[in-house]
Amino acid sequence: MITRTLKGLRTALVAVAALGSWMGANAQMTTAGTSINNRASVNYSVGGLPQAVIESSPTGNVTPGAGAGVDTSFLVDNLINLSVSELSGSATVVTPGMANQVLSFTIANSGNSPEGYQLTVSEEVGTLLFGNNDNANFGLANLVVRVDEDPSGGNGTGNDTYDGTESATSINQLNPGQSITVFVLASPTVPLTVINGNYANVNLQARAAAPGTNGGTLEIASPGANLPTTVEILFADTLRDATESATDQFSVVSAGLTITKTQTVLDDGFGSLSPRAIPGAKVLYLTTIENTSTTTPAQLVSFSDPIPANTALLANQYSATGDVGITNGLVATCNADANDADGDGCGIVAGTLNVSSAVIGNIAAGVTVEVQFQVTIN
Amino acid sequence: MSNSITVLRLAMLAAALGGAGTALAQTAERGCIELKTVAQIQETYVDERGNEATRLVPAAKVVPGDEVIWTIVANNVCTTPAGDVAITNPVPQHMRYVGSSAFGPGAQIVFSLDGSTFAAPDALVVAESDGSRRPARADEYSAIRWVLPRPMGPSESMTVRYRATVL
Repeated sequence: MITRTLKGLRTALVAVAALGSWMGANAQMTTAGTSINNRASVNYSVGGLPQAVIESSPTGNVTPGAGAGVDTSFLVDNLINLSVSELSGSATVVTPGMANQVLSFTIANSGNSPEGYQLTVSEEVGTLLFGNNDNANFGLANLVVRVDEDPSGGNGTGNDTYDGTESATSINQLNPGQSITVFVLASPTVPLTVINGNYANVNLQARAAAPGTNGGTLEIASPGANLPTTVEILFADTLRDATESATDQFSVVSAGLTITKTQTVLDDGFGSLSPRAIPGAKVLYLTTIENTSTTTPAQLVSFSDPIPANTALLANQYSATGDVGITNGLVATCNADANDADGDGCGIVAGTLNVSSAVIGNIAAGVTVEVQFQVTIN
Repeated sequence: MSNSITVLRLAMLAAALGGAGTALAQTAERGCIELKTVAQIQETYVDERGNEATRLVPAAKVVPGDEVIWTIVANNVCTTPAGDVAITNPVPQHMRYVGSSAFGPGAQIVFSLDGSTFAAPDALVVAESDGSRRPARADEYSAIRWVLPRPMGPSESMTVRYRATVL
């Protein structure tokens, strides 16, 4: 007897476990509004004679015959559940001024009814994420939400990757079991105000809304009396508020430029081994611009240097018309004419030598560019 | 020729009327067992002493994952005993039977995988695609039957119950 009881108990436990795994394996839940109908029947005999079957009804049925009963029914209610998760698991590394930089999130409808979602972005000043404290603000005006064109795995144009064609700022409708990628875009570019070592933690919040309203009509949990013939709304997310969120991070890594300028007296007119800086002496000014970043190029670098007082720029020291010499730039020499009249990127404006980014270009990580020119002391 | 056809038609009409009359008598007939099915859920509440307690309430707010308690009540409304009483209930669509939840005082409870053949849980086996056989899981039961070993006397009632989860 004891053995049988134990066996029965074990069977029950196995059955429950099997049910649990079955439910987990099949995420598809009974859709809200589905009517669940049940009708029992009884067979019996009177005086040894079998009688016609009697079906049940919600209030009790005594009329025999198949079809004479009435279903006991209720409607499956609307279970609203959702999840928001950030995709990368790490910060998105950006550089000031970069365009099309996004944080990617996934929003999943884990309820049993199609839902829409209102999306809200906020910055989490001071919070810790991925081991880094938020210490910078992008400014909400510089953060915009874009929703992928169609759910993940869909056959539309959405590909879970930001490609600039996304335009929706809310989720109009997501069916049960579906997920969709949402991007938070640094718009129009990563702000130029953020600097190397800045971290900005950006939170994306999704709030369930009636499907087809572009997130406009928020769902409300059904209050008051429950009716078997009404599809009520229940919130099943963590805080029972139909709202979930996740945070991702922009990590700002900018190029670090170290600039060093040296002056060397090349010739004082007396052939000295150690030429002195006397009137008429020729002096070389050499500026080295080093990008100390190991990862990030410095883009569109330009250079300005006032020609020192009481000196005059020496022309054509680097080529037939080359007043300025450039190493690792886009060109080797350029002509420091007044106001860059020849448009080669070098010019003197109000006594200052300007070498434009058209001459220097980008400086890759770890690369050093040299700019040099020579003067005579008046 | 035409007369015989008319006669035939009249005969058919009479047969049809007779048949309808019989059917009407059948449905208007009152059987000996009144059968009722009720859907309820278990609700937790705080009683007047401040203790948490549970009670059964009508299944109104039900979502996937919830357990519904199905209660079937049979009443003998005749003055004669009803014998060979067997109450049968298919597990509703979109639901799964909860193992070991079927209850019925004194009744032999048997289950079915196909809805027509009933047997005790130990006797229900499922053939796998690889030819092996294994005991059926409770969530695979598609119908439940309560077989009463003794007749129900006049005015006697029998309540049976089971739980099922909304998928």
